[in-house]
Amino acid sequence: MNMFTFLPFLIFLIITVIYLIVKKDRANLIKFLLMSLVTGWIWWTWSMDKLIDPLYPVKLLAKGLQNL
Amino acid sequence: MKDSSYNHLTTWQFFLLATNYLIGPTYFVQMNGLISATKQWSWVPPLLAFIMSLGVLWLWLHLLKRHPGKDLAEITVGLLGQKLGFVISLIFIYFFILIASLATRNVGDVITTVAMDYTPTVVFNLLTITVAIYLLSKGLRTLGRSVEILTPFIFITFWGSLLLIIGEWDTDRIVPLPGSFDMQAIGSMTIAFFSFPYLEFLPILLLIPLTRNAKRTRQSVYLASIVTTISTVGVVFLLLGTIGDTRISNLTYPTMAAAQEISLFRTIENLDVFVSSILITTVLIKVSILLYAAFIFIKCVFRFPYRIPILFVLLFMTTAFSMGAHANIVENIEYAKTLVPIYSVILGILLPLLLLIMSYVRKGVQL
Repeated sequence: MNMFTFLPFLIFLIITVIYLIVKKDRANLIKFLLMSLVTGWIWWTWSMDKLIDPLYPVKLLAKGLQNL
Repeated sequence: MKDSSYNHLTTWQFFLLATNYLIGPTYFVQMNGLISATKQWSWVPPLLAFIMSLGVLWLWLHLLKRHPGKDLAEITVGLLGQKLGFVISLIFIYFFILIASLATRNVGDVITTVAMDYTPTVVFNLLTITVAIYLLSKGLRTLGRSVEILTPFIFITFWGSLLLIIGEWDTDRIVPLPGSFDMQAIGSMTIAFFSFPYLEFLPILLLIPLTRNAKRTRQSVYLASIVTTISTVGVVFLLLGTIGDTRISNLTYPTMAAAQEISLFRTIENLDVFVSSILITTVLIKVSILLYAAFIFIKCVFRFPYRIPILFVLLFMTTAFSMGAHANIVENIEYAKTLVPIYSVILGILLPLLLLIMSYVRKGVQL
């Protein structure tokens, strides 16, 4: 995987940001950028072959329960 | 998306969606673990899990009954307030995306293992999620109508292909061996079956406000569970009687292996292709409902009025999550026994129980 995989997200981000700027919807633009920050980070880690473990919080909890 | 008329569902469509959601990848993920652990007693865990699930279903439906016309997202934010409601909603969103990504990954794994060895798993994952997102962009009524058309096809093809193997039936294979009753194995498989699929059934609650007849919809939730249990026990007996527990223990996907055994009139081969298409369809329905649930929560919590950006966010997140879900199928089967019960109990019991308690504590609150 490489930067090429990240491209679809980047395109989506740019199009939506331009759309919200044109609509002058500042409040929703901030909310969208916050959502994109999390999504972008998850997509970036996958694009760069550093797979994020979605079950990590559950594994942490399971470990905690075992130690009880 | 919720208020539009194109999101209205009939009770029949709701029932079909609920049944397909429950059956989904269950036959493909749970069968190997179930039969290899409990042998000829494999019909017991699904029945016990169903009995346990009745209490949970009552809990969920009682919560909805106390707040008619409201969906789970509105109830969460309304009862817990903006701050705590936000945190709990994020947990709900995480679980919905997690389950959707695990279900998607199951399809990818089955297809790459059984049929297309050289195609990367991400292709199937992306395919499933993209179609689910497209369905959601068209409204839930589209999904309801698709299910109405597809379910008879799924039912006839699935049972038709599996019943063709009945010629291999040997009653001796389903007779339990003396001393084969292992209470511990039955207990652990009951918990595994109770967690997946029954506790993962929660997102279906978000579809109930979309139907008009609340009472009949509530009845169809129970009916969907009954149909799933009967169907599961039927598949268990069919697999045991035809393939046998010893061979199943060595197979990753026994349901698929059963379909591969069929050769009709020496001309019709590869009936497992039909079974694969059924798996893809049922998982697609499950993923669509889960993503719809996540969508409703995101829309309610963030008060973000645009539909398409949320759907794209879900597309990217679920695809990336599905790739990191597990390293291989062995890990997946292991997680089904160890990790799934933990998050399912939080999602299916603890959070709804918290909401129900809050519903009684804040009795007079207007949602």
